[in-house]
Amino acid sequence: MNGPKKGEDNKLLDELNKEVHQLNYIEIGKAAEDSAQLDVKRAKEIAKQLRENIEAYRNETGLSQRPHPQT
Amino acid sequence: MKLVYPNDLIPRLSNSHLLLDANVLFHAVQNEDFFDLLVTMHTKGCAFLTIQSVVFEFARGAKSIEQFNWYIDFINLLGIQVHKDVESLITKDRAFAVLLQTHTSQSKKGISYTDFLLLMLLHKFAHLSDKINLMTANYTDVPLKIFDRKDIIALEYDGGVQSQALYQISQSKIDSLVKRAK
Repeated sequence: MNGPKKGEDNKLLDELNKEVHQLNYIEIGKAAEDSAQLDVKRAKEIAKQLRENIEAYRNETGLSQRPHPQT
Repeated sequence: MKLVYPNDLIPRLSNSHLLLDANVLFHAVQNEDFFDLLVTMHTKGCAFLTIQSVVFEFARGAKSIEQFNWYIDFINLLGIQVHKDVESLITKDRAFAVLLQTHTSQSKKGISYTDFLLLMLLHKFAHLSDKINLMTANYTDVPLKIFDRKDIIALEYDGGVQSQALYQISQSKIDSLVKRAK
């Protein structure tokens, strides 16, 4: 089996060491907290980045260009 | 981009829970009016929930940790909370799982695992409250023999129209199916 090429090992390790942001988890049966705060401005900024990312993914995978994902 | 939805939708969804499918998140990213509608719902007391499987589908395009974090941040910034351990519902709610499988097996592809879990969760929550809806654009995986389609939101894009719909479980439909099976 082919492993990562020389030089790619460090890149991969760097990637794996990066901090992954955590979701806001809730146990089933517990009511969702009202305190879940919105940050509309920041969410819209991120949406711009995600639009490009989603479009690129769909172009690569050959999924429909329509916004609605074909699941 | 234009949105069409019932005038009383937002007041009706106040102090309720809304379970979100992956396509809701995609629409929120790509349709600013729809995003604003979700924000309005939230500020009027509608709590957003989803499951890990939806997060996986939504974040599939991420090619690095940095990109993955964008998706996570978007979910968090919209105030969406994620349910843990949904899979155990299948064993704990076996009768409903079988009923659901029976009435979704007719579709060509069969129901996706994500949609199956969302519908199981909807059933679980229905026992706790009647103010829980599932929002999804995927109408083929929600059997109307078991669920009611309560509302439709139409989203206009260049070249077309798409929709999101809200669903609730119908105990009377379930009772009717169980009666017929006996």
